[in-house]
Amino acid sequence: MFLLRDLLAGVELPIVLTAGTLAVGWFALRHRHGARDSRSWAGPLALGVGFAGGYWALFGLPAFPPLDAIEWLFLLTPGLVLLGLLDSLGRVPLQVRVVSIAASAPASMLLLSWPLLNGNNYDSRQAVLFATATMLLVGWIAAMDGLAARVSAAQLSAILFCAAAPAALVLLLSGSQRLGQIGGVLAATQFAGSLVNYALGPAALGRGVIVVFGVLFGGLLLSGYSYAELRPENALMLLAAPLMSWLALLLAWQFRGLPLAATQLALVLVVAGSAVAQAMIDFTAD
Amino acid sequence: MKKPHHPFRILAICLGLIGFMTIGASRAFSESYAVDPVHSTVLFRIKHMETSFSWGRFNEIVGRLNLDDKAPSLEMHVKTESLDTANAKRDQHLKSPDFFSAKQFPTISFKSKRIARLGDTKYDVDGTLSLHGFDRPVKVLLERTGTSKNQQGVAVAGYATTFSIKRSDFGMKYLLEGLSDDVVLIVSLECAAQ
Repeated sequence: MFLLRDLLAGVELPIVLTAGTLAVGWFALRHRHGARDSRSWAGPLALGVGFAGGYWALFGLPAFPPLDAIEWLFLLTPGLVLLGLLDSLGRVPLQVRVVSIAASAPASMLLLSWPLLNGNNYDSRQAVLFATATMLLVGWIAAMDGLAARVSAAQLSAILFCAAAPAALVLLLSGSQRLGQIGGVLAATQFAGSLVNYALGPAALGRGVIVVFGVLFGGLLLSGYSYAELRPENALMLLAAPLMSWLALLLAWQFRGLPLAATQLALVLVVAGSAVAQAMIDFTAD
Repeated sequence: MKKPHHPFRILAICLGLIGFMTIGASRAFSESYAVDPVHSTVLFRIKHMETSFSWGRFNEIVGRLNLDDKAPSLEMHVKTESLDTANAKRDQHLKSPDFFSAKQFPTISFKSKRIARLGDTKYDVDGTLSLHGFDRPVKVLLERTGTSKNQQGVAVAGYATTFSIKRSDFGMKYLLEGLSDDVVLIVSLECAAQ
């Protein structure tokens, strides 16, 4: 059951907060030399502010340590934003970036999996899942990091939105409205990011967005599988969906004249849409 | 001539009487039972949209009840995954992190701290209900609903209680607009003597 309040808190508020933070970031740095690149620090900050604000408005502040493992998604956000800001500065040595990303993914996945990895709840399948999810996420961040350097901020946000919005729907259909709403908040931040970045013109988004979005997105999918009824093939399809942008890049190199942006979004939507279709079939079959 | 009582015979009769009374007393006061999961039920009732009551149950229950006067105790464990509302989709939702988060919190437990006898068939039970990661004190009135012998000749006794909790006290705050905070629990136990 969704109320108007949920729509305002879970969709409109993250859009406003993300758009506002991006606009402030652009305004603050508009006269600086190299402002187009400098503006990128606003990306991870805007994503973090929009996501945390929407989550807070929907569910309130969780306790620390959190009761439900999925509440780590909120509590991890400030740390991820700091990591994202560090990542987006651009002058950080490559080794530091690699170590920070390689540490953040397992640490986040471990916190989200912890209730199923300790004490009486220990499940060996969860240990395998944790290891697999961590490896996939590190690979995903590395691949998307490379993509972020090749597409505009608006396009990257649009790609992430095209994966996050279907993910929210799939999570909703997989038994947890709460996870679906959290996915909706994440999608809303990228919707705002796409619009505002498009309005402000092409700019380097800042690789920092990828680490923040990647850990939250991967964490959502892991939580959906671990604590709700998200099918593993749907989780994998949703995780793989943004990577289809790389395929579009390869196709664009192969076939000159292919509209790259549209092809990227279409391929992402096809894969993420397949997960939605599968989830809808499952939902209506029971 | 009246035959005098033999002192050993009198002693034997006395010992026999004492023994019989002791066994009778232990039968009367040593009430150690195991909860029969097949014939026991944990039901819950919650108000939907301020309109009607929705009912559900937990199908897997284990526990022990000891109403011995010296150290009475009641301990029950319910498997959260066994939640059943006769609707698979609703069960899935209730077991998700929105409500019970059954994978993270697989067991719901009740452990008594104090049991006071209130007459022949009623007991005042103070205990701790552990649900969704929270331990909260709960006070219930437990009533013996009957005693009998089962097909194997084992003494069985029925106990029941009805009590309310606020789900928000146990951290279940999702959808309070649509599903009431107050949840009524109806517990009926059939226990076999040990």
